[in-house]
Amino acid sequence: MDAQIRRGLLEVCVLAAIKNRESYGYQIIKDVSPYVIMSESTLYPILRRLESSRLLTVRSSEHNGRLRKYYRITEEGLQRLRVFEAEWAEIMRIYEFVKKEDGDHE
Amino acid sequence: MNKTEFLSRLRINLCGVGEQDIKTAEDFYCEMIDDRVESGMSEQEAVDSLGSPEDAAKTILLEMPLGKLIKVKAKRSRRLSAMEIVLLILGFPVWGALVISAFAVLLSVYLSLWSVVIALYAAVAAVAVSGLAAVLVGVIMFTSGRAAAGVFMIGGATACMGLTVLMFLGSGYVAKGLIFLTKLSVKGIKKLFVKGGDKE
Repeated sequence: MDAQIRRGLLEVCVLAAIKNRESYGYQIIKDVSPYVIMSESTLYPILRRLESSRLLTVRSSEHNGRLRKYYRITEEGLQRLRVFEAEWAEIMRIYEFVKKEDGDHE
Repeated sequence: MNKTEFLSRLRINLCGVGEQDIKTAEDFYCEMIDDRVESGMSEQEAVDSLGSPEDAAKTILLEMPLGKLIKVKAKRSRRLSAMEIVLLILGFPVWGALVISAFAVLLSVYLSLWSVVIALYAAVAAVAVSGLAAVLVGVIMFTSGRAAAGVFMIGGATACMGLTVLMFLGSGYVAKGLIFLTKLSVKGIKKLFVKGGDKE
């Protein structure tokens, strides 16, 4: 997959993983793993990017005697997901067209 | 490799990056290892599942702005011997000129790309202003008895307005393409500094 497209999709996946409730790094990886392979090395820069773009906020909280970071989606993050959903409908229409064209030629 | 070794190798590979950035990365990977251990893995398994600290550091470096990355690489260079310093000073007319020319070429390419964008939007603005002026002149002509010339001017104004919309949309696509090209070039330059870092 094209690196730019993959990058954008992974960002959306992370936002989707914290859409309904705040979450932490390992939980995000577990939540997205059935759909896409995401390593810690991939997740870390994504979280930092999303934080600097103000699509999510971070807070530290004590957990079993250590600090754990929790990520919460912002209104801008929710807006980004809405834009993605709207764009995806268009991409699916193009996909259907491409598949149909393939079928016609077979 | 245990957790301490992993974090220490990560720190070494991020040497030159600001202390705050190193601490944030260490905290992230430390939390990842602790969470895995908490879910039942041994420390060894948890560390192994993270991949190498060198790869983790490369990914972090590739995400940095180009200017910051160059500073990091410059900070990491070893200390120069007296002979090397003398050679550097004596050779300045040669390497200095080359560095300045390379910088000038990069700057001129960057400026040229943005000049195209500015020129396109200036053309759009010019057509839009001409359209508005033509409407005004057309109305004045129409009301002062020169109806045919007035209609001609208003027709011209409509064409200008249409052209403005089309040119504005076209300029938007060109600007997006140029921004994409600029990002690609910056990424290419970054890869020269961080070898083999394209893991994503």
